[in-house]
Amino acid sequence: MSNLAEKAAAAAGWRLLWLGLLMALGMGYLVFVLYGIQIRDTRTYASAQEMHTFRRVRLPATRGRILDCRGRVVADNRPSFCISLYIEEMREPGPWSNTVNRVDGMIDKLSQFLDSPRIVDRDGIWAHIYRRRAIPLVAFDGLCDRAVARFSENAGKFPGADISVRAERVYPYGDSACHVIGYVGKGQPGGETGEPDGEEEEDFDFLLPDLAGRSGVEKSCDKELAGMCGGELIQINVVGYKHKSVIGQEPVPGKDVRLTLDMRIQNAAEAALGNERGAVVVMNCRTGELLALASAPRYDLSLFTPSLHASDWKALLDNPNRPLYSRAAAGVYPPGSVFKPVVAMSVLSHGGVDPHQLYDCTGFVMVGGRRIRCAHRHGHGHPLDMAGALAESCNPYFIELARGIGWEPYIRADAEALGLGAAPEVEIFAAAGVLPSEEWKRRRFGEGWRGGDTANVAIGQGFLAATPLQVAVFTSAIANGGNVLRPRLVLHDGETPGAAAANVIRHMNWKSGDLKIVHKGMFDAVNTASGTGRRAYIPEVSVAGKTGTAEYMDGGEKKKNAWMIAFAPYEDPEYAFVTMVEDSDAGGMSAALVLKEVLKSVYVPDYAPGPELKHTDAEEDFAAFSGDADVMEDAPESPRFDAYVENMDASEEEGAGGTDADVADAVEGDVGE
Amino acid sequence: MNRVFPRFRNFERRGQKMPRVNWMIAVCMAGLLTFGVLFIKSATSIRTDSVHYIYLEMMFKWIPLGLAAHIFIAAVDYRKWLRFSLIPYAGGVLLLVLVLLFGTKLMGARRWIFGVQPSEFMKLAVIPAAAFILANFSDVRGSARFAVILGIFGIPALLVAIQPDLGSAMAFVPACAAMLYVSGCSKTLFRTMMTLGIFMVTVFFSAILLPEHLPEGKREAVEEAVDKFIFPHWRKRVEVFVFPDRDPLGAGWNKRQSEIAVGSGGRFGKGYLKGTQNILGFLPRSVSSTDFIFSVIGEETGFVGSCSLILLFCGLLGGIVATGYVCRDPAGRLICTGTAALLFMHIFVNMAMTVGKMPITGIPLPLVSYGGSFTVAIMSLLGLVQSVSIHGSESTPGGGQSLTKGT
Repeated sequence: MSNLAEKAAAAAGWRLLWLGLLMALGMGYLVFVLYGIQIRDTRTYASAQEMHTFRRVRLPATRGRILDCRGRVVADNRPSFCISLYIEEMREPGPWSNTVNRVDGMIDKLSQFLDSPRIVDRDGIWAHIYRRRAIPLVAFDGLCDRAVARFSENAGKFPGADISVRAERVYPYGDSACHVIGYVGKGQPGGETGEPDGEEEEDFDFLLPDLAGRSGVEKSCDKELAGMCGGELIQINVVGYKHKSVIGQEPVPGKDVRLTLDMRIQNAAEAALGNERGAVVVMNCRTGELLALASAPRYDLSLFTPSLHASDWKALLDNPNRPLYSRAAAGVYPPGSVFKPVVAMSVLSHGGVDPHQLYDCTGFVMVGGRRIRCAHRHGHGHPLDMAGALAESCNPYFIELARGIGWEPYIRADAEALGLGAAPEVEIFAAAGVLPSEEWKRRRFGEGWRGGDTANVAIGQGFLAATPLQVAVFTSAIANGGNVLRPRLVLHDGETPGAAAANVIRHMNWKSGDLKIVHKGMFDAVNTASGTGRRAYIPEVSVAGKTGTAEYMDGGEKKKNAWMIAFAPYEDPEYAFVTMVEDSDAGGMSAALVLKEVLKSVYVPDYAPGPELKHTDAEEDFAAFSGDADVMEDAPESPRFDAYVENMDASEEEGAGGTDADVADAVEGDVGE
Repeated sequence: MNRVFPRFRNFERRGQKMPRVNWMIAVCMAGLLTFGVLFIKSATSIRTDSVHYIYLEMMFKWIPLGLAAHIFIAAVDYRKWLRFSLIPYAGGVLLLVLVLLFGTKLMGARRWIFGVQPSEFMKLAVIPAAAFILANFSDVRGSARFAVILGIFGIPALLVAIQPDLGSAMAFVPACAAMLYVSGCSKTLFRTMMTLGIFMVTVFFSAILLPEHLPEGKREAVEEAVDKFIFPHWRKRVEVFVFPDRDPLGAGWNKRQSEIAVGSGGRFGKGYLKGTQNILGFLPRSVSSTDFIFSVIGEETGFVGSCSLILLFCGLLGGIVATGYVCRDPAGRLICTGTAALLFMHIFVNMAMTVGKMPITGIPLPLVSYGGSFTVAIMSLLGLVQSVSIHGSESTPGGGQSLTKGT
């Protein structure tokens, strides 16, 4: 036994020695390899090091363009030249301050030589060395051709400096559709969303930040537009002369993004709005494509390239008209009478009301001891059926309708189904608005729903608030027979404008007979002498519409927003229109006139927006229309109403605040550089 | 029987004999640690941030800690330790599970928990556990022991592999194979496993490299299928190893630059703190003090310095193998076998990778690379070997002792 164990132990000892021999062989192999590269071929490696200093250059991908549905370019790229300093190649022995001195001197020399002002000061150099030394310092940006030529001829005089090109965004249409396109800023390595990758920055000695979308479609389609950066190895010698360059990876240019917008219509809409604060939405009511999504006032997108100046940013933020604010999608307003078709459809679909029964408006209606007036202070002069009430925008009629059936659940549920109270899923930031309910009011104000509240929301006032885009969605649904569509701003590959795949969110269960009544009322509003929307009439196409004049309180002052919705052609609706002008006269005036221009741009072949669009009609018309307001006699005095207006302002702020905060971040970064 | 398992004999003899410390291991370990501190300082000398001072952290925190562990472990008979060897093993497995669940994610892999990498401690814990089982269950059938040992190594290897840290997981393989080989259990099974292992490695490489030669249409499908089983960064590393021109900017860059660094070192090197590849930042900064420290050593000390380093490693490995040879106790011998195989694997893979003869893996150079948990783990393991040397050689024949002291 002992002998056996002894034998086994000896055998194990031998096996261990065999292993030891194997390891010795491995170590011998390492020595052999080291001999090969450190003694035999050391010259090759040493010269490889001396001769071929490589720069790893990141080749930014060209950002995709943004086109409108007809292929017109709305956002393009142009080259911008800059001079970058490779700090690592300019490293001086000793403390970093020596290197900073050298870089500082070099920038001074270059500034004189190129006759360009310095954009980087000494502190900037220090900051760069601390923060991102591996990346070259961009010392001059946006150089003119002369400076570029001068530098190229004398590049040898400035070792460590090199010229580079980067793309800059240009906007052929100026500020047009700026809220849809959105602006760009400098992206961060590793992307905006993902945590910065520790290794990413080390992968390149030269890294120009790509442009990254900060708002609008530039942001939502950033992935498609951005493409993939490539990389290049450049061999340089001590004086910075490039021996050869090896493309490691070709950059993949970003894809173009096609918008559903038609710049012809968009431009007309913007021209029609002029200097007023307002919004226009044109939506294809069969597909959901948005042909125009205009907000006014606008801002100049080119302010943001190459980077936004702090003072410009402050001016944009401080502007009382708030040009950064995308009114069409993020502006929340009481819709006023343009909400009446929704009430009409809801009441009709739930039955119990004869739309042909005549109603004699006395000019006001009593609700809970309050007197709510009709636009026609002394009545319409003749009894109205439902179509007539829509055409002449009779408040008491709709208040009576709504009181009959009640706000909840029927009308509110239908309004919710039509997209009110929830932000529409569109490719830019959109607000949700307010669709009040008893529960909402209790939470918000601690009191129950009253008859007056129903009366208010029945005519699109009170707590109800919606964005022009939401209004366009329900207008489309009424026009197309009940399909609630997802509004779209981007065409996918292979889609033809006007025939894009419709994304039907839900189908309203409406009877065609009921729809006819509402359509008829809206047709009469534009096409009869007593219709409130008659000012939008154009002979080229049959239009059905509805005006609205919504009152709101602004700092204790009573103001009115003018609305008009429409669809055309009446017989077979293709487009839905929404126009809204803030702080204006009446829906039948300014909003109708804006709508008229937009209609012309769609249906008049050689239409060119005229210089003078507004108030071409004589002053007396104004007097006739000023009575069109959906007046609630004692509403302004109601403390609840004031509270509500504050609330509305708050929700507006929320909407705009979201985008503004983004902007602030982006700009802070830009200013820092 | 007593000669094979001499338990606690040394206890009565402790006063009579000088402890048989293996001075070879001690000297080489000290030399390698010195190398490490010096060149961690060099590799980080151009950093201006806190990384500049990690050599001090090494000097005053991790090495003293490792040394304390080393001495403490060496002072006590390894057979005592072995009786508890399954406790740290189980603890290590638990930590590996915890790290998968709650670990800190760094560069795409969950490896850290409580400021340490449990995978490094696992390497320490698995060898005594395997030695304990192999030696103490000698009456169990060979194939059963074989399976148990595969399990002992397999569980932590698998847990490390899904972190994912395939490189560290691979480090378990040679130690496992060496211990099975030396223990001599079930030769047929061992040969089968080796064949299977070689077969698997062949499949692995061909799965990555062969789809190249397929026609266009089929190629994508095959590559996609392969990517489901292999981490994409591994495919990249193997590809870069075989075709360095494919990705001269990314993974090919590290390989090329570390090769240039070592090669340009020449006979005597550029001098301490004068390695231009490192100073100019051509060596990847994040790894020049860890996985790629040998390229800094190669550049600054040249062939002479590199060979001195290899000599130190040879001395260390030789000392461990000699200790194992003279120790007649299977458990002690297996500890030495496992330790030597583990160290050799790290040294060889790391150096070969630095000079471009192996795909790049995240395997550090033992005792030289910067890394707290790993250094402490390796020093503790060497402490166990030292304990084998001190306490395990009572029963050895005289010839063995001279070998210990002589080489």
